[in-house]
Amino acid sequence: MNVRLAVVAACVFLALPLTAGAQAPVKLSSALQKRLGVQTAPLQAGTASADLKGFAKGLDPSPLVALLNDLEAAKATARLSQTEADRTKALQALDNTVSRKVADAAALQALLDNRKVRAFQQRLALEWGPAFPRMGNAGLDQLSRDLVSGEVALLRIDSPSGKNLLGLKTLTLDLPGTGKVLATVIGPARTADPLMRSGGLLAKVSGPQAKYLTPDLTLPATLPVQGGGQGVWIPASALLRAEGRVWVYVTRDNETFIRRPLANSVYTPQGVMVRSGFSVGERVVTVGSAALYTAENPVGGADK
Amino acid sequence: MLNAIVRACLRYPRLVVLTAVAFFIYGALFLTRAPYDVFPDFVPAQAEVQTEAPGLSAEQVEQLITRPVEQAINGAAGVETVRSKSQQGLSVVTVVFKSGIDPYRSRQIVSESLSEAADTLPLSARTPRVAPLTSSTMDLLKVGFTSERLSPADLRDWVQWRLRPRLMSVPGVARATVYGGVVRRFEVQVRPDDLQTRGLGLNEVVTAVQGSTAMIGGGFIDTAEQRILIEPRAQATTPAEISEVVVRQANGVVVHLSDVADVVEAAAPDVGDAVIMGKPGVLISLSSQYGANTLATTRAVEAALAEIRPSLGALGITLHENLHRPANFIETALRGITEDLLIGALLIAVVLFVFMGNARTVLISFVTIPLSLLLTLLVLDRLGLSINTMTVGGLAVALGVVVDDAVIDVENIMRRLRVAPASEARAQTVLRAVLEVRGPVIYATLVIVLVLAPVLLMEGLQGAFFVPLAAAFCLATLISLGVSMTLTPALSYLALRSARVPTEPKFLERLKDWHTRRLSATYTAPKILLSLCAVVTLVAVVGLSFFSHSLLPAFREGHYVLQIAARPGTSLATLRRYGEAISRDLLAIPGVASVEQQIGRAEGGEDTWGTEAAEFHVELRPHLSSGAQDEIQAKVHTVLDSYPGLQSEVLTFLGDRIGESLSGETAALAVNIYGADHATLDRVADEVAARMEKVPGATDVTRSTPPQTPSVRIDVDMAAAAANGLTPQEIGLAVQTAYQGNRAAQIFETERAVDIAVTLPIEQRDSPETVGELLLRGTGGTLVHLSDVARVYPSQARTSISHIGGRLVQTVTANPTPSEAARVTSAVKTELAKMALPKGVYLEYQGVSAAADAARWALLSLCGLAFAGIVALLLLAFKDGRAVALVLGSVPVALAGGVAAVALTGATLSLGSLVGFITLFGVAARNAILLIAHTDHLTQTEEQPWSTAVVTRATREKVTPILMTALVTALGLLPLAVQSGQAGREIQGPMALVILGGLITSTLMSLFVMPSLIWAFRQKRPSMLV
Repeated sequence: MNVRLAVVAACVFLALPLTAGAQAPVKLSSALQKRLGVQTAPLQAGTASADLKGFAKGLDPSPLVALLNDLEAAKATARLSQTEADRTKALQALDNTVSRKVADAAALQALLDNRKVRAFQQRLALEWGPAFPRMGNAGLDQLSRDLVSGEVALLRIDSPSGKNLLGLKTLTLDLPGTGKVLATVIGPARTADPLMRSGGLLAKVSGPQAKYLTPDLTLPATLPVQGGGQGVWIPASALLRAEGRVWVYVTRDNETFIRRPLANSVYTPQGVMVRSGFSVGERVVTVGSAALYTAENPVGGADK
Repeated sequence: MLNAIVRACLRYPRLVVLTAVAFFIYGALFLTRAPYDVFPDFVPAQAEVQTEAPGLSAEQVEQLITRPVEQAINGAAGVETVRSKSQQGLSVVTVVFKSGIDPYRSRQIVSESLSEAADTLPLSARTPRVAPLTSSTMDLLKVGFTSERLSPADLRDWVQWRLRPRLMSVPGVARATVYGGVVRRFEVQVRPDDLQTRGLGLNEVVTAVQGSTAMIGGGFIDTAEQRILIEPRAQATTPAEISEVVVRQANGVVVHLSDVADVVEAAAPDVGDAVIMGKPGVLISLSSQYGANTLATTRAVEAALAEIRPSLGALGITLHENLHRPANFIETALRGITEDLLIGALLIAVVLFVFMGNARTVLISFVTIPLSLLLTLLVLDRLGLSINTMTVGGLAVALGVVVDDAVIDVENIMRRLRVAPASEARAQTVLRAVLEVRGPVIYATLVIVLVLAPVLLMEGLQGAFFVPLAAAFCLATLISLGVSMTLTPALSYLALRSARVPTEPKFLERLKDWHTRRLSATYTAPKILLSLCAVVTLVAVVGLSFFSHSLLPAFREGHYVLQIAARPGTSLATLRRYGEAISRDLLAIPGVASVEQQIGRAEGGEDTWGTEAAEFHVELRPHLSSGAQDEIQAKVHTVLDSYPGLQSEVLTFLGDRIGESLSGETAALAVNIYGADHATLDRVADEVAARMEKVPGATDVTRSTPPQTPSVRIDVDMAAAAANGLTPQEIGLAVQTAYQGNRAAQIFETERAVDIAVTLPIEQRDSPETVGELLLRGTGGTLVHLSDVARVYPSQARTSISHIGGRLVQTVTANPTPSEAARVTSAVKTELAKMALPKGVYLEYQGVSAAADAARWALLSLCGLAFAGIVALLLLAFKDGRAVALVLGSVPVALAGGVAAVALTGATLSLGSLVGFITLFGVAARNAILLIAHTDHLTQTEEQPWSTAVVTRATREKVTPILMTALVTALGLLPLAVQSGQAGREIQGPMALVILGGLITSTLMSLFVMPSLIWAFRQKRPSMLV
C-alpha cells in the first residue's frame, strides 16, 4: 500500500513541472470568434538574428600610419644593423681585419635597433591592440598603404556598457547617403569609452565607402547578437501580457484555445523567436487574445 | 374674515371673474414658455475635480495628485463627502456638499481650495479642472458622425474644431465631450542613435522645439499721428518648418532637428473611442447646464445641427441624431400625462353633468379646477421649480381635493338654492351655503397639508424627488381653497342668480333612497361594523408586511445604458471589436432604433473609465409599450451574456444617474470596505464578492475596483544610476518621453491648437519586452541602456484606487431589481455578518435600498410629528376627542383599499405609492370631517334633536358630494392608473392605483360605516333608536 502511494506521489511530483504552465482551455464558438474577429496563424520556423545598436567612430589613421612607418624604418635599420653586426662578427672571426671592439659595437647597434623594432611593435600592440602586430609585416604594410590611399578606414566600435562586443567579427554601419557598410573587426581597443563604459573594438571598412568614413565621424552601428539561433517565430500580435508573464493562446481545435507561457525566447523587431515550448505548424491566436483572456477570466471574479 | 371675503366676492362678482380670466390667460401663456424637465434637480450640490497626469500610474496619481487635492478640499466649509478615484493618468475627486448649499458657492469653495493644492502637484500633472456645473440628468443629447470619405483624424478635427464650438455656444449647453476618431498631433520622433552620434540629449531637442513654436508679441511704435503694431510671425507651423529648427550650433557645425529626428503628423495616445451604429465614428456628448430647460436647450442644439446639416453631404459625413435624447422622455411623459389629464377632464365633465344635471353648474366646477392648477404652476415657477413629472404628479394627486372643493361648494349652493325660500336673495343663499361648508373644508384642507408636511420636510435624493410633488399638492390644495372661497361663489351667483335651479336628478334621488334604507340597518350593529373595520385594518397591516420595497420604480425611458468591462489592460482596439459585434447584435433586435458605444474616456468627460470599459446607449423606437421594452431588455441581457467573461450591466439612464448620485455607484447596492491596506482590502473584497454571489437575487456582483492591469515595472537602481551619471528624474523623463511623449509645445492654427510631442519612433516603443533597451543619456553625456540602471520586468499594477472621505476603500456592488433591493440588501447583510473580518476592517452599505430605508424611516418619524399636529388641529376644530377618534378611525379602512390595490398590481411598495397612501389619508379624513361637521351643524346650528334620523339626513345630504368627489377623482386618475408603468407614469401610476383602491373603501366607509359609528360614538347620550 505504501509502495503504491509512493508511486502515485512520485508520478504526481514528476507530472507537476509538465502542467505548471498549463491553463484551463477556453471555448469560443466559431460564430463568436467571427463576431470578435479572432484570427489564428500557424507558427513557422526561423533563425533569430537579434541585433544591438552600437556606435562607430572614424579614427584618425595618421598616428597609426606614422607608427607603422616608424616601425618599418626601425625594422630596416635593425635589418641593416644586424647585417653589419653579422658581417663584422664574421670578419673578426675570420681574419681579425675587424677589431673585436668594432664587431661588438656593431652587435650592440643591431641589438639596440632590434630593441627599437620591438619597442615599436610593443607600442603598436599597446596603443592599437594585439591584433595589429599579428597582422604581420605584409599585412601592416598593406594596411598602412590602404589607410593612406583611403581604401581602408579605421573605426572604433562601442556600445552602451560594452554589450555584445565580445566575439564580434563583423558589423554593419549606417552610412548616411550610402547605406549599409560592412565593417570587419580588427580586435579590441586598448582604451575604454568612459561615457559609454565600453571597452570598444577597432574595426576597418574597406572599399570605396571607406573614404567617406572620416575621422571623428560617428555613426550608428548594428551589432549582431550571438545566440539567437534556430526556433519558432511567434508574431508580436500573438503575445498577451498577464499575471506578470507573456502568454500565447494556442488552438487545440477550432473552438478550444489554451494559454501557454512564453519562455526561452529572443525578442527582435521582426517578432519573438522561441526555442522551446512551441512547435512549427501549431496555430496561435494572432488577433483576439485579450478577448480570450477575458473569456477565460471573467471580470468581477477574484483577482489573480 | 371668511364671511367678509365671500361677501366681498358676491358684491363684486364680475371683478372677481375678470381677475380669474386674467389669471387664466396669463397661466395659459405661461404654459407655452414654462420650464419643462424630466425630474427636479435631484443631485446634491457637488463638484468634480479632474487632473490629467499623462504617464503616471494609478499609485503615482494617488500619492502625488489625489491626496494633496483631497487634503486641500476635505476641510472646506460645507463639504459632506469627498470621493476620489485615481487611475492611470487621471485623478478624479468628487466633492459632495451638504444639503441646501448653493452649487455656485460650493464650486467657488472648491476652486479656492484647489489654488492651494495646485502648487504641490508634480510638474507632469496638468492644472486641476473643476468640471462644468451640469444638471442632474446631465445628458442633453448624444450625436454621432461617421464618414466613408474622411479619415478618422479629419472627422475628429471637424467635430472638435468646427461643430463643437458651435454647439457650445448654444445657451444651456455646459459641456461637449468628443469621443472617437484620431486626435492629431505633431510628433518629433527622435532617433536616439543620431542624437548620440551628435552628442545631444532630449532636453536640447525639447528646448529647440519650444523655441521654434514660441509666439512673442512685438509691441508697437507710437508716431506723432498713429500707433503702429509690431507683429512678428516666427512660429513654425508645419512638420517641414519644425524640422529645420537648429538644435545646436557650435564650431561651425549646425545640427538641425531633421538630423536627429523625424517630424511627422501622428495620432496622439488614445484614451477613448466611439462606435456609431456598429461602425467606427466620432461621438459628441452634450451636457446641459445646471437649471437649464432641457427641452428648450435640446431644441436649440437641434436647430444648430440643422444649420450645419446641409454641408454634411458635401463633406461625406453621415449624421446620427438622437443616439440619446432625454428630451424624448420628457415629451413622452408630458404628452402622456397631458393625455391622461384630458381624458380625466372629459370623464369629470360627464360625471359633473350626470350629477348636477345643469350645464351652468358644470361650467362653474370646470372653470375653477383648471384655474386652481394653473395658479399652482405659476406659484411653483416663482418658487424656482420646473414643470416635471413630479410636480405634474403632485397636481394629478391633488386633483381629488381640487375637484372636491369645486363640487362641495357648487353642490351645497345648489342644494341650498333648491330649499331656500323664494323671498331670500340669491346672494344671501349662496353666502350661507358657502359659509356652511367652508369651516370644515378649511380644517380638512389643513389636515391634508399637515399629512403632506412630512414629505415636504424630506431631505436628500428622496426629498429632491418628493418635495416638489408635495409642494405642488399642498399649493394646489391651498389655492383651490382660495378659489372656492372667491371665484366659486362669484361664478355661482352670476350663473344662478336668475336661472331656474335645476332639480336633483331622479336617479340620484333613487340612489339616496336606497342608501337610506341600507343605512338604517347599520345603526343596530356598530360594534360588528367596528370589528369588521378592525379585521380589514389588520389584514391590510399584515398585507403591508409582505410587500417588497423600492425607492423608485423602473423607468420606461425607451433607452438603455449598457456598461461592459473586459479584463483591465484590454486595448481600445479590442473594445472596438466588441463594440462592433455587440452593436450589430443589438441592432438586430426588433424595436432597437440606434446603438452607440463610447469606449474609455475623453479628456474632461463625465465618464472616467480605462480602455477596458465601455458604455453603450441603446435608443428604442418610440411609443413602445412597457411590455415591449421589458422584452427588449431581456434580449439585450441575452446579447451581453453571449460574450463570455465580460462584466455587463443594463441600466436605464435615470436609474444610472440616481444610483450615481446616491453612492457614486450605478449599482443598487454597494458594500464599501475600509480600514486596511490594499492587499487586505483586496482579499476581503474577494470574499465579500464570493459571499454576495451566493445570495439569490444579488445579480451582477462586481468589485468596482477592477483587477490589476499588466504593466512593465521599472525599479531604478540608485547606485547604478549614480555611477552612470543619471538622476532618477532624468530616467523618468526619458521613459515618459519614449512611451508617452513629452508635450513640448503647441501650434496654433486658425481655430485649433495642435500639440507637438517629443518621443521615439513607433517601432522603438511598441514592445513591452524591449523597454529595458531604451537608451538613456545622462547630463554628462553618458549613454546606457535602461536595463543597466534599473530592473525592468513584467508585472501587474493597480487599475484604480478609490477613496471615500480620504480613506482607502474597496467596493463590491450588486444590482438586484428595484423590487428585490430591500430583500437582497438584508440577505447580503446577514451573509456578510458571518465573515471574520481582519482587524480594523469594517463594512458600510450604500445604495438605493439603504436610501429607501433611510427615507422610509425619516418619513415615518416625520409622520409621527404630523399625526400629533393633525390631532391638535382636529381637537381645535371639534373641541372633542370623540370626533377626533372617529376621523382618525375612518382612515385605516380607507388605506386598506390602497393596500389591496398594491397587492393586486405587483405587491411592491415604492415611495410613490407611499405618497398615494398619505394622500388617501387626507381624502378619507376630509370625508369624515365633513360628515361629522355636517351632523354637528344639524344638531347645533339647526338645533335638530340627536337621533339616527339626523345622522341619516346628514349622510344623505353628503351622498352627492362624497360620490361625486370619489367618482371624479377616480375617473380623473383612472387613465394614469391604467397607464401605470408606461413612460412618464412610473411614479404617478402606482400613486393613482393606491388612491383608486383607497377611494373605493373610503367611500364605502364614509357612506355605510361612518354614520353608524357617528351614531354610536359621537354623543355621550344614550342612543335613541328610531
